[in-house]
Amino acid sequence: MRIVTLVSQYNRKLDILDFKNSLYLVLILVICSLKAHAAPPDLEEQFGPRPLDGVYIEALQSYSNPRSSQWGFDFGVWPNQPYYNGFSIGLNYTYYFNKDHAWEVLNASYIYTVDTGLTTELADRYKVDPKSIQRSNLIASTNYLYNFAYGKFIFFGQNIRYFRSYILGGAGIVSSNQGAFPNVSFGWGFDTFVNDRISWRIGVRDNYAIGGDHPNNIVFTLGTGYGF
Amino acid sequence: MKKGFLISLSLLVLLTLPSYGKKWTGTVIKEYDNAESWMSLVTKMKELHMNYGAEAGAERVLEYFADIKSKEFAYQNIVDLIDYGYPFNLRPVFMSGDLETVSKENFSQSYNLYKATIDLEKNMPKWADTYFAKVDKETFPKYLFYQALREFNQKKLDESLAHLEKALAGLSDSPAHLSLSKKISRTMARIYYEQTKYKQALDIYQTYLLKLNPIEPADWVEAAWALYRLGQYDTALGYLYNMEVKDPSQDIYLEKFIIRALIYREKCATSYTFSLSQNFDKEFGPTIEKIKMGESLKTLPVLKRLIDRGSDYRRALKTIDELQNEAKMISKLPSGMQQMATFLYDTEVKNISKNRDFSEDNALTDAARRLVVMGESLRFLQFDVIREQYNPDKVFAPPPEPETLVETLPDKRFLLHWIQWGDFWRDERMSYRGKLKNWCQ
Repeated sequence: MRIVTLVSQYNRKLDILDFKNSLYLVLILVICSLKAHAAPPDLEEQFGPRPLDGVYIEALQSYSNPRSSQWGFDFGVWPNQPYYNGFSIGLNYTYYFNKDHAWEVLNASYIYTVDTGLTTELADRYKVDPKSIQRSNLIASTNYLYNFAYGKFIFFGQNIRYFRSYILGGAGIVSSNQGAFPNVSFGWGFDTFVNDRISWRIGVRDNYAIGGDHPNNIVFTLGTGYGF
Repeated sequence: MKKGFLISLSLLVLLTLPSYGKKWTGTVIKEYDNAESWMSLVTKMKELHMNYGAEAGAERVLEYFADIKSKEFAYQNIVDLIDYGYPFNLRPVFMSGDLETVSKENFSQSYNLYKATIDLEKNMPKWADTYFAKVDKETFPKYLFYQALREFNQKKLDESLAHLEKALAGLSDSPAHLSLSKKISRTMARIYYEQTKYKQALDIYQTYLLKLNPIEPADWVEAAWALYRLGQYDTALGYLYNMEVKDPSQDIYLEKFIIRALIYREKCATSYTFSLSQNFDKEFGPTIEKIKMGESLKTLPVLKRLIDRGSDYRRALKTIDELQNEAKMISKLPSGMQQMATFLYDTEVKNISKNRDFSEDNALTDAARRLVVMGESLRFLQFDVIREQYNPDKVFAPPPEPETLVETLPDKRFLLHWIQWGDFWRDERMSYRGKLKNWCQ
């Protein structure tokens, strides 16, 4: 797998780390950069760039999916609620300002819940009967996306697939049977392109409901995207 | 004494007279004396893409059977194999052909053309004219290609180009035309190169020849020459990087060292030239030493990868290799054919091995000579480099440029720069660039 991590953005990435971790990261980056500049002898099989007569060779490739807008459709699993398992369908629209920054204008999910059996177990074993269980049923948010890696990989030894990976953060609203709560959302996503327009997307995000009984609404998603 | 010798000689002549003028005959082993069985075998082998075996089988049909049907079958298959890209010259097989065929069909036109060209080659112009008269000289693409090659050799480049364009226009997308289409395109590129129209030459490589699968490695070298002439040194070096794929069966093209040396000279890059020389020594130094020490050339495997691709020895080596590979597929043939196929492959490998041994010495000597000459040329280049190292203008190297990983383009597009680690991804092969620095003042 090949990943281009944008060198110019290492500094900004450091902002989200504490000082000690920042030092570790700087140390690793320095070692990596030293390793990258120390040209191994030509024609020798070893880990690292392999120059030809001391000349580094690079492949210049246009990234295959620089589309401005993308519609996404996904299925999600909400596994971390004690009283129920949630299954969702979601729709989202994202606008890309450039290769790095994008705005997920809307991400909306409808959640269908199935009891885990915990309420029955509590009643049978401990004679406890929770009267009100908060169940999220609709979540909508708007988010900022930052694409931190672009790359490609070989899928089952046959097909070369391009991907990009991003982190996101934003705000929205969680609608539940106990009312609506504001939420803060953050997460990570990964797009793998089948062609110039269509991609497979996986992701994980937490819609943290402020003021709810069970604030963490964590969802794992699998979906598809269409760029235009 | 003298009288006795003369009498003995006369007796010897008299004894051999009855056999003079008699056709040589041999006996085909009984189990294989059936033309239909051979024809079925050849057909089946073609179906299974056992092309070297099919060619050998078709030649056996010509050797063993004299009826018209068998001969037509054999020549038809040989023509098909040529059309589908059999890599060696099969025209000598047509020397003994005695079919009479006149039609506009590909087989008839091809047969008469091959027959005419081999007759011409064997200095039988009248026979050649007879067969040429049966070929459609206006539209038959193979004839137009043949005509273009003659004009190319006579340096009539414009006329040659016109014939090639006409030939290309007569071809379709059919797989049977692919091989000819490649040859025509490559010849056009070479003519453009000769005419110093490097851009047009490069265009043919970039838009057609280097997009084929598999790629002919020589096309990388020829495209690199065009790029070098156009002053696109970084791309030329990138194209040559494709030749560094680790494949022990792949031919070695010494020209790649020449182009690299020329590029480094243009950039006044002494360190690169020094590295080039070191790399050459590392790869070929031990072999050159052994050649100089008088070691048997047959013990030097590198030389086999340097053999001229048009030579008989190369043909023998490649054919034996392919026949041995195909022999492993005999079990895929119907059981009734397997014995005959085994016989065919065994005897063919033995026959070609004898031919290989005949031509081995000359081929290896030629390869060794070319390698030693190249080594000496690079050694001289190295002396120049050592002198240049003390040139005050070159001692102070410019600071390294910052490394670019991503390059932003208009319309939100961007380029990724993949630094190569020697893994040769297939989608990158035409986009390699050498990150050359200009050391000239």
